[in-house]
Amino acid sequence: MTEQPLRRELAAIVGDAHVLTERVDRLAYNNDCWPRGVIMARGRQLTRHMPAAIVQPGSVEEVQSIVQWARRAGEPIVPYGAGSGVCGGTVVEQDQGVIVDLKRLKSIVATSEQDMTMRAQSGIIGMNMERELQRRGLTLGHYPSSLICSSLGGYLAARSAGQYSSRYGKIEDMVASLRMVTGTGELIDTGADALAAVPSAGVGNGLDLTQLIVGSEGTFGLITDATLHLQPHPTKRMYAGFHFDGVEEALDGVRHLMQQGLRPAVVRLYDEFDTFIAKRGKKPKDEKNALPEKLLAQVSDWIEGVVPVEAAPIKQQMQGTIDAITRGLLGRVLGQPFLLNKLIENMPYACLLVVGFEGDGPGVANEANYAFDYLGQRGRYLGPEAGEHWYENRFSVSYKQSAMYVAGAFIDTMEVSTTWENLSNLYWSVREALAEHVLVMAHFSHVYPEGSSIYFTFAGYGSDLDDTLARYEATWDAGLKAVAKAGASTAHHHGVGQSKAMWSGHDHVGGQALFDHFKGVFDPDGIMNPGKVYLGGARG
Amino acid sequence: MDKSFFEARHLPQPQQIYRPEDKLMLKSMVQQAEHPLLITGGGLHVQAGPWLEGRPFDVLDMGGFDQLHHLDRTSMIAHVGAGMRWGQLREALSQRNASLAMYGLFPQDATIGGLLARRAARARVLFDGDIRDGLISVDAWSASDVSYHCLPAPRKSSGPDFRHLFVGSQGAFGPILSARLMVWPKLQGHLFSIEATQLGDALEIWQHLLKMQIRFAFSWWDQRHGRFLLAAYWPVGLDHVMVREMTSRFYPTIDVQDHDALDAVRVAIESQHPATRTAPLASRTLEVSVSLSTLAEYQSQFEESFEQLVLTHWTHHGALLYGVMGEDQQVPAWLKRVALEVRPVLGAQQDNWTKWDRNIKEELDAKRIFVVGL
Repeated sequence: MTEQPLRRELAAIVGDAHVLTERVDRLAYNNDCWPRGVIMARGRQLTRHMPAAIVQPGSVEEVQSIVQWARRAGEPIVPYGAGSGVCGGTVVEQDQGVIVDLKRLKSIVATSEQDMTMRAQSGIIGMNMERELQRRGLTLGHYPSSLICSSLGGYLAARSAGQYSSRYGKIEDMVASLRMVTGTGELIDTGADALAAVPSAGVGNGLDLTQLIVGSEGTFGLITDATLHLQPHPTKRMYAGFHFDGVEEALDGVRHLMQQGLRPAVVRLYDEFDTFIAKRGKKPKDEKNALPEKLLAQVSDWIEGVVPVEAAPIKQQMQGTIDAITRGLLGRVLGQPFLLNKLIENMPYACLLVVGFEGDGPGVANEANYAFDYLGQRGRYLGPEAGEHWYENRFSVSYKQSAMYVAGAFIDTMEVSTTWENLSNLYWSVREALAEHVLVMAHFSHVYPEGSSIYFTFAGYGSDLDDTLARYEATWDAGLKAVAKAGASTAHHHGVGQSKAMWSGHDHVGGQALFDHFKGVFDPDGIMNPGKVYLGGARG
Repeated sequence: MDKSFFEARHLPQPQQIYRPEDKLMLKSMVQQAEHPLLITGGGLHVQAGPWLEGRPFDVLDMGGFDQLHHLDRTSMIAHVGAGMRWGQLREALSQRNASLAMYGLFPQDATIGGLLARRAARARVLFDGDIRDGLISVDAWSASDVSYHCLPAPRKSSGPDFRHLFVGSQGAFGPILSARLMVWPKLQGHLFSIEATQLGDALEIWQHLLKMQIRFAFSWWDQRHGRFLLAAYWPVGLDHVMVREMTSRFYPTIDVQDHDALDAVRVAIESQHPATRTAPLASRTLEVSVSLSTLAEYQSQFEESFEQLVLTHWTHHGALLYGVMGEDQQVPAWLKRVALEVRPVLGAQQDNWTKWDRNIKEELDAKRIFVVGL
């Protein structure tokens, strides 16, 4: 459809002010935070995912009208929250789709303190939602590091996790029901709950559709409202840091605590290099090992300025200071990552473990003291400062990567998960697979009684756009192949998007066929966010 | 399970009962079956409902899938056949020094597949409580001949959670073959019994406990006994301070301080679980999922409308209520209005599948190979 009819028809639904077709606007929605898109943009490939238009509905009825319009027009539509996704979940094919930006749906509709429940619209930004809940003495307990620039709908679409997932769970553990406009333009409520706009009789007693729609990333429809379970806003917090000689020793301790039924809010274990970057992990016995340390310290400073290490204590003044000389060195160092990774594997540094408990009542201090004693006997207790430092800096992350890209490098993260039995195997397998392509480090977070996720951060370099893209693709390919070979999950909390669509069938064997069936029901025209979650199946 | 099972329970008679013991046998039997198949585990929830009425059907008895395949002691994950019974699993784990400590109370004879497949509208509880909160993965087979295997890894974000096509859908789309469940070491168990003669007393205690943020593996208030039973597990070293917190506030009369002793109490309660088909008043019992605010607002109606009340699976948000109605009493209209879900433990339930449920059924099982036994 050409621009004018498209604009006119969408404006008839949402009003002229809420249809964006100017090139500058379309460029702004050309990519979410998918690093591949950033690489493309740095290489002046700006139009690869440029939408035909952006439409901003202000009501559920307008969302329905947009979907009905898209069906008539045969135009793909892609839901968009705050655009903080890193897997290309909200990108369109060039000029072949309309972005539906849901940020105008931004209300907390109701809260019930007695039932610890909230109903909210999907476009609300996480930080705004949390501030309002906390004003009422409540919390959702969902604190992704992107809290300031991510939306409730995005969390639900991608099965997001917050930093306190060990206590509060992931978003799929919090959601009670959803309201979604399906790809047929109809409205669906997925479950009975105390705050749903429809009585439970209208919901039915068949499938639990909530958990089948959470994580579908807009491929079945557009989520407009959700009812979620809340918790009291905590009044007590106890954090501490520990040093361990290696990740395995620390993981054993964390596993034991989780399987004893303890519920720390935060558990974050940084491997040697990640700890080194935080400059908090030096082993006293290895003071003499100066030469490799100098080189690593230089690398650390480069990365310190640009890596989205979630809340690692990074000196803020280093951000964006890579100059031309550094850039050249960066290219040379990151261009030969294998040696650097080998050096890191043998570096004389300990691992930093941050553990935090929070809540109300006597249980918090009791659990915290028990856990700190236990970990202190197995590692070295650093006191509360290391933990509190993490807490103070927990949102000092991400979206500061431009300096790295300016220097011709790239940076990305891979969040994977597996059982405790397989965790060490996964860690070393992926490290090894990535080592020849990129500089790699990792931390373990989001721990559960049965296992944990690992968050790999990697940085690479290419001499030009093609070389950078080739290395980027090769890195992901090698990394995810290693994850799959290790029998681990390829996605823990970033979702799938376009970047991991070919791997969903690894985590859900038989999932492609089931997904196709669901597409047939909810999106018979194949207009809902095509090409995401699973590669184009029978129905697009 | 044979035809006498159905006869004794005044249920429609199946034409044929198939009892596969592995997936290959199952597929072959499904191909062989001449009638729509009703999937059963322990037969706890089989009912004569609109899906079965007046139609010939066969039964696919999953009781042959009753193996504990593997126990991963490091990750504390048990890989269990869907036909294994809850009580059987507890025994098998106990022999291996593991337990189902953090789970709620379920009928001893219920199968793992049955507990997962039954419909249940209730709040999720992280890690402990309902069996599906401890579910890591399932293997299942769909009517559309899709072998579904969910990778056993924690909390994946790789698309829709297709476990829920089989979990809670009562076998409408195909059988669950096996499940991987979180299990626990044998932790120090404590059982507290607090006086609570009225529903309002139990509610008040529960609200207080929520403020204290003490987590319980199971919670059980039985109106007849006027006691609120609460079980918790803590590691040695932490337990004495938690027990002190409880005793200083609620003066509980029982404090069982041993894992096996608490297990014995659990078994005793589970054997009287109101969701058991053989419970004396099962035919008059309703299972009601209800929010805490509704419990508070309608507490007198709950007490007046039911001859007996049991509330279990208490969470931050609601509870599961079992209410015994009087002879010939109909489900109260107000209850249908305020409850999250109302289900009879026995007896036909109104088929209330939405258009979307039906469309998905059509898409996945157009030939109606599997029927729901409601």
